[in-house]
Amino acid sequence: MADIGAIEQRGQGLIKQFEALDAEQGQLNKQAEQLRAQLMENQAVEGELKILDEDAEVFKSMGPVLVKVDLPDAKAMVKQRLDRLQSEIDRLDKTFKEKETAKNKLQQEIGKLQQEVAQIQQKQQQSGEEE
Amino acid sequence: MSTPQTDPTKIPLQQLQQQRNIMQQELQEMKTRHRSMMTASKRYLESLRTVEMVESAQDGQKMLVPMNDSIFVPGELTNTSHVTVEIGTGFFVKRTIPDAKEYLERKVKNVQLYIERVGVNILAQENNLSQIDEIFRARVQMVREQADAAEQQA
Repeated sequence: MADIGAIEQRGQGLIKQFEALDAEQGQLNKQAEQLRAQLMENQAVEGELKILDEDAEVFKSMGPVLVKVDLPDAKAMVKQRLDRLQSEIDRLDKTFKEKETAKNKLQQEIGKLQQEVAQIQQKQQQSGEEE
Repeated sequence: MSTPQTDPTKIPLQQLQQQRNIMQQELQEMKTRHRSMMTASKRYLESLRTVEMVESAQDGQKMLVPMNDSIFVPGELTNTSHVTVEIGTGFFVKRTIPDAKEYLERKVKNVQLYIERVGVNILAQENNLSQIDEIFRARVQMVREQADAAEQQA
């Protein structure tokens, strides 16, 4: 039966696709983890800026020098960074979910192929017994 | 924290081994986090000591100012009532000595609380892991004995 060989080959292809998606998800997770750490650090800074007096002197390090920035400007900079990080994380999460859906679909297809193989094998066995 | 969702005495051996590997990986990650938190705590404590040193110095105190790791120029402290403290992500704030100390002490406390929490989790994970190890060994032993018994019968 050439059928089984062909189906198994197709199955192997699907399994490879599945594993590739799995690896991509791992990569996405790592990236998201780093961004979350950055988000937390920026949230801590936001919290510190919030409890400062209005006339507090704030500096931003730019390379080797400290540049004076107004407190509202500093707050705006941190806010902007938080928004950017959050949207980046959301984007990664969305891609992660898409990969999950694709994985589920592949799994179903692989299951179907396995059933087909089992059915063909059963038929072969039956016809073998009849002979 | 992944607690085993299935009975470790019943799931297939291969699956049990996988679970063990995942838990080991998690344990490693926790230990890395624990170490980096220890480093952070040490840094805050050092800063705290430096602030205390500035506090105890007089205005006009002579010192050598590091330009880089190996070049120093003479200077003197002109303001021992304020220090400029990093609050993260490249932002610095000029604060009075008491405010700076309060900030650093708060940071140390938070980090230490976190270290304690991670420490507790590490212990729990190590406990789980050794339990899984024990079950794993016992089950491998059992499979072996069954195989031996089958051989003797045959």
